[in-house]
Amino acid sequence: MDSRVLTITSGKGGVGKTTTAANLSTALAMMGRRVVAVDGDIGLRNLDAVMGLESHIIYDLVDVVEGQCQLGQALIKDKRLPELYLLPAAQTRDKNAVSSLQMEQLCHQLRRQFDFVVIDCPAGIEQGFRNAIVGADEVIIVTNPEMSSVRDADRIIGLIEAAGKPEPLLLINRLRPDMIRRGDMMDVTDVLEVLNIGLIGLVPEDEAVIVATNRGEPVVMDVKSLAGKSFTNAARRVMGEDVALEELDAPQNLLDRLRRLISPRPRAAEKRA
Amino acid sequence: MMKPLLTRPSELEPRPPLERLRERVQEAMSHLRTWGKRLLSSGQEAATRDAHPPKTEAGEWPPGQDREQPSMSRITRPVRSVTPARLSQPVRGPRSYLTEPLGDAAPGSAEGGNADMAKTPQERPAAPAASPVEGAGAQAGAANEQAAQATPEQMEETRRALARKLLKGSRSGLLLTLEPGYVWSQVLEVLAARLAESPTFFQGALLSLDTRRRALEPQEVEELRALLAPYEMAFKEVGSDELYDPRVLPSGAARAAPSGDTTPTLAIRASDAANTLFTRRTIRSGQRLRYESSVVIMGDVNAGAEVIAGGDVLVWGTLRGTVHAGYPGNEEAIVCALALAPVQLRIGKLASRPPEDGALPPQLPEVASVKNGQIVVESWNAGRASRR
Repeated sequence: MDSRVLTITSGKGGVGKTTTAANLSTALAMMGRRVVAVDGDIGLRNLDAVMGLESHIIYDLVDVVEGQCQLGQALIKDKRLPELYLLPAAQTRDKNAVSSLQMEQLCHQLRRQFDFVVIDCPAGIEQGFRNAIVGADEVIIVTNPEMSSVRDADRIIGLIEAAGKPEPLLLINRLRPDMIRRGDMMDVTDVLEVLNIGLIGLVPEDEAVIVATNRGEPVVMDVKSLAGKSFTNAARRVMGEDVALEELDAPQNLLDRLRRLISPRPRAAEKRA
Repeated sequence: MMKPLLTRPSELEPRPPLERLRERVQEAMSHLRTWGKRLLSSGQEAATRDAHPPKTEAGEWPPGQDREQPSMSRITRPVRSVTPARLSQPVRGPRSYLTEPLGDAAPGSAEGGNADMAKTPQERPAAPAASPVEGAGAQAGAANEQAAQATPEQMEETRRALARKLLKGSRSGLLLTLEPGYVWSQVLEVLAARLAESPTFFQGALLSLDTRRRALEPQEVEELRALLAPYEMAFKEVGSDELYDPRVLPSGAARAAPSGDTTPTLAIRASDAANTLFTRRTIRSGQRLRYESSVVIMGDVNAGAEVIAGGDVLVWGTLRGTVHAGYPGNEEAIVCALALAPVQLRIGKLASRPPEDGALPPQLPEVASVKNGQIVVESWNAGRASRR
């Protein structure tokens, strides 16, 4: 099977790229694939902490690229899954430490050993972003359903098109169905109206994500969390499976159903895109 | 430079003493609260830090003032003030955009930013084959010469203005539109100048005359024929939407025998622009499209994108970004879109932004143009009649 290099990017910071990268990698590994998660955020590395592997780091990406160690020495096997590896970033350097060419060569090397290479792109549009997409086969854009992140995602789509990559896929993160119902938040159609690319995942706002990050355990491993289930579905779609889009507004339990029976949902007010 | 809309806090009037007293009380209360919290918490170092509050940057307290931390309540939020003269109330029907004149240093001129856009082969000046309305008789290419840059001379300016109004490129050659006010000698002069600019191009082309508003005298016909003779150009008269059979004369006008072209042709009033850029893509945020004449975009213009055109801008999609039509100074340009909701709209030297009453723009095709020195937005159907 061909290896695939996926870059998770967004433009705006804080929308959930690292969370998405960690969870997609974990979910793909849980499905049996050989996956490496690469942290592209040199200087502000987070992927290791989200995956709970920060104490396992000896060598990092910059060491590999500068030839101070072998690639195999820098790859860290995950605590829980045998098929999941992490290539961490350096914390003491910055994004100019690696060039696009070096990154591309690294992706080629990784491609030979793994089924999936998931690259966590840093925020912004500068060298870090360019490095992260140079080796990518596919790009997933993460956005929140709000004005500024949609605008930044639009910019990123333009840059990805200009770089000659295929059309990116969209993952909308931190959806709040209650706000959407009230008309206070952009809903999925509003976001797609502006961005106009294919959708690969819808992830609701979930406290379990914060808990999981602090614990160093990707939220897909929490079977009860909605966000975890959504990330798993997204991973299945990446694998090619046709998974129906999440119904995020479904009533969660009996109390919810009763509540809706008594006061039915108001029509969503007019929204400004 | 657009007039700044935010007032500096210093320009506001000083607040009444009662309010200042209230603020002082609030500050004192917040200090008490903080102290109380700190006493309850275990942080000893916090208490020591508070015992020596940080000094101002000058190093010394200004005499006569209390030693206090600057409180957030002192920082007043700037008030958005718009002078009433500029504010036009949005009205039903034509919506008046809040219009302001741009300075001479209009943005969009040479800047370091790159456009990030790969121009695909699809983006080409509108080729003659594109228009479906044409009749069969195709002559040589539609493009006529773009009017050259405006020179400082006033006469040259008026002549150019006349040339723009008078002569337009049509599919089959040139279209000359005669209006009652024109002086015939000037018309001939303009025509001669245009033909002289590219003699070989017009060789054998066709000059169509729109004489609905002003007929030609026989003597004028002769002069025209004499002018066109060296170019071997033929001319004939047309109404703008009628099929014209050269054998049939419209009343009161002279006729000339067209050279070899007997098939009826529709004279299409092409826009002022010689070459229109036609592109089928969405302009994404951060991308800038600059073109010297008109632009047709089949797609959206997203917020954060810029379109700067010398002529009209037509967006067959939603316009959410910034558009500058008629750059740098043509106020006859128009901007149309299926859904017009720009961040900023500029035509010629005027800039405007949408009305701030928060109403959503109507979901129908609209056109923005300059009327009486103001940018007005109206629905396409309503605005169509007033347009040439």
